[in-house]
Amino acid sequence: MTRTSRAQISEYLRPQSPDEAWRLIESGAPTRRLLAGGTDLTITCPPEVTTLIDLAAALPEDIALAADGSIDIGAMATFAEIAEHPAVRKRASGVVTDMLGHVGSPLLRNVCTLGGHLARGRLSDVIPVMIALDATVTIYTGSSVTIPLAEYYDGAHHKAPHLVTGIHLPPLTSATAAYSRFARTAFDFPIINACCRVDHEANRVTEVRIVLGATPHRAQRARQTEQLIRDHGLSPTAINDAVGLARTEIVTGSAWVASAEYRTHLVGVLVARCLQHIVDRAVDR
Amino acid sequence: MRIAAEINGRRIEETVGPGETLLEALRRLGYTSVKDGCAHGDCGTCAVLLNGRAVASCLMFAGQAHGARITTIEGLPAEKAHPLQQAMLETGGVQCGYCIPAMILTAADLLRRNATPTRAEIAAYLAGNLCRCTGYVKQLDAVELVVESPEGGAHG
Repeated sequence: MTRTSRAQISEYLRPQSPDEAWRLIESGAPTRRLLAGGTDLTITCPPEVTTLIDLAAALPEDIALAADGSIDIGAMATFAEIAEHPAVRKRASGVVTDMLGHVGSPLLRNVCTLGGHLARGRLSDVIPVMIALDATVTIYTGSSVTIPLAEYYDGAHHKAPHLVTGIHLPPLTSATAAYSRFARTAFDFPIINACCRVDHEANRVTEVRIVLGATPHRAQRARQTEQLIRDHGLSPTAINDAVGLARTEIVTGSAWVASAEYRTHLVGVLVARCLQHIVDRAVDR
Repeated sequence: MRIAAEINGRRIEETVGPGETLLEALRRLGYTSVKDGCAHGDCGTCAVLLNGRAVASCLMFAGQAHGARITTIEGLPAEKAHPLQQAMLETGGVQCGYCIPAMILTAADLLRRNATPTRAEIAAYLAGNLCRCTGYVKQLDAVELVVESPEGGAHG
């Protein structure tokens, strides 16, 4: 069990820029910890942490829709602010807003920040949806670098000291997406979750993303299943085949209250739900 | 460390611990309507308005409130019940009362941004405010009563 304590915290710093924050954290000293929203750190602060580095004044919190249709979200934007933003509500049939409605309660969503959540990076509702939308993440380590969110967790970036400064959602045309999760209770971390995105052009499927999260490993794309849907569309037969294929290609594990076998079963259930939801939304249009 | 903030319309400067949560600081300063229920963000009894938004004060460090505007139930006018308080009394939404200050503040946050929420929207917004007495029906009735009053939900 993780030991938690706040009594030993003796220093609270408020850097005013990414560079100032970076200089405070670059040594990787385990006694220093970056503070974004605080919803995680208040209850899971390791006992060796003696210094908090509050990022509120150092990092952006704005959400901006660019002329090309892309959306930039600052690291300190809260889940509530993101969910309510008009451009986010419209992106890919509102999948980000739908998903964020499943994260904790409003009392948490008014505090949780996107940057803090991405940096934490586990048992996440957000990550699979952002990967399905081809999001890139900008991190700062003395200079800024932007990488696909899917690669952020694969490479060394996530393990080394760094700051998440924002996320970028590229423009999408004719994208419909759906999110589904399974958890013990509505407020609990997901046992597994899925996000599917299907782009259409003249009733033809042009692009597909199928991403499973909380497997409990890092989020995974079901690339063979994506190809199947690209080739065969969203017919009942194709969806049925996608369920079986996704179960074979997504690697699940036994941890966090569920066995690998149970998760693998749920992979198929959630992929079917998401794809059917996309079909239903297309009919609604 | 020192923080400057506005609590219930009054500017304050106070010393808080670097590891102290906003919940702990507010209670130490005498705002005991802010309840220490679970201290893990699960029960919602510690909710306050931070710059108008309902937040779980147990999941924030006090230092994060530097420069912020904080409202607790003590900040509502004492001479006359707030419409949400009155509605809770009229519908029987209050039993032991432990969860009520936070629930009223959270409902006020909702009504400030959506004056005409549906019952489902009210229930969704109060989902993080647990009550072990009522079963929630009367409390949802109370918020609906305010929404349907002549002034509508403009009581946020």
